Amino acid sequence: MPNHVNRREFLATLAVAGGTVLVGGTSKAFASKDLSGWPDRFGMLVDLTECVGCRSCEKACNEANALPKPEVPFDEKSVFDQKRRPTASAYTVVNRYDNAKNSGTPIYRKVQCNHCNEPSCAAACPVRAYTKTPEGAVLYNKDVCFGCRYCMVACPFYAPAYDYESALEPRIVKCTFCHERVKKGGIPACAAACPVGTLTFGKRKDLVEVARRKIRQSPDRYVDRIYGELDAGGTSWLYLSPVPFETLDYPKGLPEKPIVENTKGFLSAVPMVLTIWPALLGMCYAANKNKEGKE
Amino acid sequence: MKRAIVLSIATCCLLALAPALAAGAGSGQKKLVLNRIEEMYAPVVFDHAMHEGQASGCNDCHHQHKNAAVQSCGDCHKIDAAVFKKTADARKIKACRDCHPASVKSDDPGKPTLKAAYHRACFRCHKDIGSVGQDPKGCTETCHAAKAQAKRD
Repeated sequence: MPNHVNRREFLATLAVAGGTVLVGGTSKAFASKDLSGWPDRFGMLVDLTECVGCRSCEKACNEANALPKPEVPFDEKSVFDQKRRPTASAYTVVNRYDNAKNSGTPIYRKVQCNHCNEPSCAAACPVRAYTKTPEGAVLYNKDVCFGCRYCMVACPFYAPAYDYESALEPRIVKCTFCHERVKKGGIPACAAACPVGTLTFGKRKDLVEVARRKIRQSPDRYVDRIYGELDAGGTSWLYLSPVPFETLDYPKGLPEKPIVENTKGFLSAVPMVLTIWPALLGMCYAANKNKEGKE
Repeated sequence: MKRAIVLSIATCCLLALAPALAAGAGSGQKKLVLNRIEEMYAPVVFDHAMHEGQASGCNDCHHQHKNAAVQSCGDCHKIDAAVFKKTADARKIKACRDCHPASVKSDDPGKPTLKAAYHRACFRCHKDIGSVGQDPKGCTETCHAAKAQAKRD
């Protein structure tokens, strides 16, 4: 009889302990991976009021990554007739939107991987094919990828594309933030190509200041918001717009806490549950069995 | 190659503007060749005299510095083409490149590069006029001869 009570108490204690781990995991500060040690990580500020839709960035990206020649040349405007997404052969695309402020001058939005501070693609990947680098880029390693495409589902920006042409060698394709160039002191090809300075490459913390200054100095020109400063936990790419971002198809209502946080508490408890619980329960079982044997 | 292209474009714009400013400002300068950062396109031939007639004033294109580091033209001169021509010393006019760097400086990432400054100066009007900003081909229709394009094809 005393044994029975002890066992129940013991299980109750275990449950409480497990619950504490779960709750403790989610109630922590937002940063699951502390980025404060990378204060010099890079970012890109995109000023949508400057872009004229010349597609120089698309062309530069294509050449920098030795991608296949596009079916339609880069100086062709008919591509703007429909909204495009990055593909295996185009890491970045520019889309055109009507300008609610000035119908004569459309707004062009460049789309590519935003290189999240805490990328959900990396969290969703079962084989750790994704790495957030100290320089800011989120990199993908095709050597370990087995083609589950969870990252494509996890990304709130629809950035990763899948190379459906190579079924036997699964491959996700996305912007690399020109990591190799940046490590050598260069800047991403798209930013170097932009003729109007729509794209400003620099340290993310400096770019946030530049963006704030621009909004302060020209409150009529910009909506009072830096997209990417906090969205989805913050992204390396930051955006200034003359019109509300949701009218340009920027994902609306993304949480300010990293998406990773939604599952981290639960997932971090899984190894404990899988290892400690069986061991303890096994011990219980063995002890009880032993006792029964003695009786 | 892309880099060269980018640089050329920028050079084109810059060169075109810089001489225009230096030699042309208010001096009845006719046509200027902008080729300092020429790369992808042939140099821009900028018809300053024609633009003088089109613009409502010098500062439609020549921006007036608002920071303390650079003295504004308007501090001494009436910003009016007729007055400016008589009173200003064109040699003292700062070229765009004196302030705007060829590539982004890490200590001041917010400052437009020379290429960006050139293009923005033109696009202030040309975004609404003609096909620039409506059609990627507008670049070659309006300002640039596409030397790189000819090479590629």
